[in-house]
Amino acid sequence: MLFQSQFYVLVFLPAAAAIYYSVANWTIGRQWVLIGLSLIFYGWWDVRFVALPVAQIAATWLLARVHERLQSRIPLIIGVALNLLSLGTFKYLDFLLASIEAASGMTLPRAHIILPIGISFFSFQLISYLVDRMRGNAPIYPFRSFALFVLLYPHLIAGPIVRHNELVPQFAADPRRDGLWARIGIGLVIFTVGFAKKVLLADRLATITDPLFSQATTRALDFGEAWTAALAFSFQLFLDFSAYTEMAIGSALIFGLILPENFRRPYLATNIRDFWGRWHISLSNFLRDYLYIPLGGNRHGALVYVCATMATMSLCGLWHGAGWTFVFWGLWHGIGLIVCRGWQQLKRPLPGAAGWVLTMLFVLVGWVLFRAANFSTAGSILISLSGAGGISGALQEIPLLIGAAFACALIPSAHEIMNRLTMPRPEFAFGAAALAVYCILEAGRGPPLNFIYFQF
Amino acid sequence: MRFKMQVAAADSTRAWRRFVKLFVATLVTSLAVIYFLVLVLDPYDSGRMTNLAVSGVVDENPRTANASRGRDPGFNSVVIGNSRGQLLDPKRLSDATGLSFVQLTVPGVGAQEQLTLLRWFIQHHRQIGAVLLVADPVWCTQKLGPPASPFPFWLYSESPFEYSLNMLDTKALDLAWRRTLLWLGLRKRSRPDGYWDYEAGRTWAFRPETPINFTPAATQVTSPKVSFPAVTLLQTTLASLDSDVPLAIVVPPVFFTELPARSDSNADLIAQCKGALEEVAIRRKRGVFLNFEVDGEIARNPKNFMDEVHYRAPIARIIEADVASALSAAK
Repeated sequence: MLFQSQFYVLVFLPAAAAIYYSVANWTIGRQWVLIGLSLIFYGWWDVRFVALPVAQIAATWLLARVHERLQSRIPLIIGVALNLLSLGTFKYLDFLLASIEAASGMTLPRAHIILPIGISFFSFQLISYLVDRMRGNAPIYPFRSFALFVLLYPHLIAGPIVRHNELVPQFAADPRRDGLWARIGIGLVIFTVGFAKKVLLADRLATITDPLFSQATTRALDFGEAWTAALAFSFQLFLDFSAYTEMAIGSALIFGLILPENFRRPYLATNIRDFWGRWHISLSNFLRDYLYIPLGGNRHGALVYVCATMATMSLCGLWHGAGWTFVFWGLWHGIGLIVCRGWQQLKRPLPGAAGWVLTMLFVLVGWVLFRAANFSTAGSILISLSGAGGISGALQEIPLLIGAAFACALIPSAHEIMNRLTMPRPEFAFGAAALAVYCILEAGRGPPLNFIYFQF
Repeated sequence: MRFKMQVAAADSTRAWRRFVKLFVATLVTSLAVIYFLVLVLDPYDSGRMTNLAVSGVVDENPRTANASRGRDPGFNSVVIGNSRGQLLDPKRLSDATGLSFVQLTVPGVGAQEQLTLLRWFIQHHRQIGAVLLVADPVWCTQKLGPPASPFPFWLYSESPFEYSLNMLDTKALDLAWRRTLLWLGLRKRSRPDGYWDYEAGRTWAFRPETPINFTPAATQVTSPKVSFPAVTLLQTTLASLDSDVPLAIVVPPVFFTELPARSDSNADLIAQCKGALEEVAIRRKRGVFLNFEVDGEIARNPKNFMDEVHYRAPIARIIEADVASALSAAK
């Protein structure tokens, strides 16, 4: 089920909220209701997929209980290994086989396993819990609370990646507590903002990017086409992913639950470190706390810092997709982060505008690597972008690109809306509802397009 | 927790409750009004819920516009096919046969979409003059898959529920508005007979490279040894037609390089598919089968084609004349 489908907006969400609030005074009951709704939501694609997160959750919870009993780290290590094994099998096995084939020249059988959606997200959440157990920072939760922390449908498929200690304590709070109407009202507004970004902008940008990146696999794009493709994808990726996040945060708010921030207008960043403080924040925080710092971070000398950064960012790339282009995208950003930190230590800051231009060009080049089917396609597009293949062709769909650029720069993030929307004015309710109506009508035009991050 | 929400002060609870109620009331009321209006205005002129005083639609997309054309009582005969039947002029066919043809061809569609349109036409006509099916290789598939591009099967569905589930969108709203303007005389109706000349406004530029040593297979029609699911479905659909209704199945011409090569393993399968289509035609009292997909003068002359598979107007005139003669002979 997709957030922007008419079925979700007009049937599932209202029905889910009605059922949830009908048992709101029963703490255990409302948690089971949310678990049931989340399983229906997840199983909507393919009911067979439901078994995987349920099995991973059950195994992780049982191993945490064993750890509690034995006070040995071994069950937790087994738990981390099991979750990584699941992720590795479903997401990376074919990639591994293809890499071995390429390196050795052998022909190996492929597994052709269908990637269960959201596996990267729920596996990471389970691993973070196990690591926190090792650090003594995670209690044993009742099974239903633990299961709901992972399964809660608004964040299950594509985040934000939530920590157990951010979410589980909220399950005990009565959703009808003070601020009920404010949470529902703000949730509706945030959901509508995400809905509009998805159906009015991101899906329209997809009609530009998909054919251009596809054509780039067979021919060199001209200068105008290459810039159109790169800009359109840059806007599309942010608008699509932030739209999902906003619909997730908005949906959760309607149930009285607050999910963490994931974006803070990243295309306003003036350096690459700033960019990573604004882009996919829940993943950045996860990688920082569970990978970068354990690898040494920046407190053990320059060499450790460089190695930790490059390792973290290459794994960040690999997390996004089972392909070498993703790994190189991560390495590209790793280099950017290292150079940026080095420059900042020189204490010679660039003027804001120059920093912004450089950062955006750097990010844009990265997105070409990220989106292209392979290195040769990425190389071809980058050559066209640079003008080395000639300055010909014009930028296409300029009004849409300008509209998308303004949306990226001006639309506040979910938490900005949460914190700023303090005056519930009637005209704003009318305006938001009118926008929601238009989005519902637009969403009915055809089969909904998947969110880009579902493939990760 | 590193994030928190400014919880509304107690004195603003009332304001927020009003905000939510206004949002929900506006949303529900607007959607209900729009939905009701769209159903009443019948944007596709499908005649399911209401029958307005005005006929036809303002819609250039044949996938949806054919719902109106297919039930138009002004026509008693139909051309079914994809873009390879598009250039057959219903007016010329009507003049030559004394019948009244409507074009229900849709570019880019497969056999299932064509069958859906044929069923729609049959359902909405008590007296049918003739059916002309332009059958290209989409009928020869051995496995019916999902359509290559979206097709509104719901619009032609027998289920009003399926139809009504698809009425809440901007396209339906736009067409409902256009239909209102048509009713008020402020817009012109889209061509009722569905004819569209794909040569109009285009420059003929077909310059094929003839492959060296290309030898087409003998373009024969052989008895089918395997079954073709689309042809079987066609047989079933035609069973609902009076046995006296004339049927013409035309296999359209292609530039000779598109004919199966002698070395092509599919050549025999294509010959069998034609055989299956011919059987469907000749089983009927007044059925004819015309195979233009042969090597010869038409296929060898690039001036006869817009591209490898789309013939030009002079060839359309030949096909129309041959169809008219064959239908006359079948009386």
